[in-house]
Amino acid sequence: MGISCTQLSELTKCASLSIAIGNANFGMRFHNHEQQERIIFQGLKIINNRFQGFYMERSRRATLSQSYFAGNGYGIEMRWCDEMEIIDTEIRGISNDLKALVDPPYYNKPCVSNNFRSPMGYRMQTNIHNFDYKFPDGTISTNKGVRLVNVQFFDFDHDDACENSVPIGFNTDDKRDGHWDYVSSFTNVQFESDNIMDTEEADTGGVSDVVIIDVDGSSDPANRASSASALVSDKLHLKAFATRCTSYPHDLAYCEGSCLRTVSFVVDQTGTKFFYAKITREDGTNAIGVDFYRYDNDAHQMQYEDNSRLFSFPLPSGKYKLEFFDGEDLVWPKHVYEKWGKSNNLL
Amino acid sequence: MKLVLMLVPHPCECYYNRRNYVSNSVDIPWGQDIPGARDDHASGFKQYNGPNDYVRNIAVGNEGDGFYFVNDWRLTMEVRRISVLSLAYKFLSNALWNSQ
Repeated sequence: MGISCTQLSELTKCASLSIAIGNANFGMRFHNHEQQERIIFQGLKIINNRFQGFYMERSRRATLSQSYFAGNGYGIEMRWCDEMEIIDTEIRGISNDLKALVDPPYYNKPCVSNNFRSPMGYRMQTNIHNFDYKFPDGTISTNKGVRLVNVQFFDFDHDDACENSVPIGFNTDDKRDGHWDYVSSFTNVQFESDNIMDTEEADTGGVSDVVIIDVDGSSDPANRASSASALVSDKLHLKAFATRCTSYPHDLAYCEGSCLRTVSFVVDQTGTKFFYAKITREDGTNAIGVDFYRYDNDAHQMQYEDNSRLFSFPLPSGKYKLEFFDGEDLVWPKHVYEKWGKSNNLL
Repeated sequence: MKLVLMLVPHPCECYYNRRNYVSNSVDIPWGQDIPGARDDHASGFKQYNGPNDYVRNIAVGNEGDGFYFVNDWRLTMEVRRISVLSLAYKFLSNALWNSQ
């Protein structure tokens, strides 16, 4: 049955072995945790809640472990949350048994009734909330997103009204410049099919460069990968330096054997509207990077000197040459500085 | 119809809530008056400003949330920046409500 909260002496707060079933709003929600000490939610059973089964916001350093989710609108959502962990947990969509249970006409129908959406297992955020932030205790944000270890997703494949069910989706409402920097990793995370994550929805929402590292290759739908690989949005510049990329539904690509680390190049926002970046590996492979900038049509925001234009590439280790072009002309911006995503092997 | 509202006074000790069962609490919208009930957003378990441990609790079929844990947004780190005055106000207002 797991251990009790009081045995976890370093933890200041936790909920364990608790059950939330059939609540009309959220199963369990938690707001605001900035402490350095990691908190833990353990042994939860959260089933058939209308919206989020487990919802956390504006927090850091929390672990959700040995828990079970099924039939929730969103199994787990962590919003404005960094340095999260989900460990030894099973996340299910809606099962045929649950459909049968709510079949009588006086029940609301999952995936059909108003506010009963097709289940999403885990709704990820797309940005580090506190990037390089110095907390009141003097510690600085590690710029890490979420780490999933030993997590299984089931019951997300349907050919009926619940066909839009998906194990992992993205909350793009909180995006900043549209660039994915929520550095995250999977270790022994398994899906039932190639229905893994809705990067297509993320692209529609304005985040087109999702990159998640599958540390041990266990999420490969083709079961071929045996080493660090990458789940990426199915874009050319994201796959250019990766190896053996295969396309899957929802505009997802799985790049077998590719451990990518994102490096961004931040340039002045003015006079660079038509710039593009070309990055070339020493073997001649190259990619054209798109820019992330929101204020080309906003004269007010363009006056703020801390707004910048950003070009970003996920790269495996190697030697690269970066060039900027304005149309056909090779140019150099007034300044460029590198911004490295957290190394995935440090997650 | 039940509403369990737990207010932890400051400074907090490690309270231990276990083996409770709360079900079918009802959310009563603002403007409606049901005798004996609060027009608040009902949760099975609602807790402000921990630290608390919740062990083996069950929340089923509530009109609001099953469990709702919230630290005040002004409360950062272990240094409790929330004012003692506001906590006293909350405590007294809750006591006044219960006395009515």
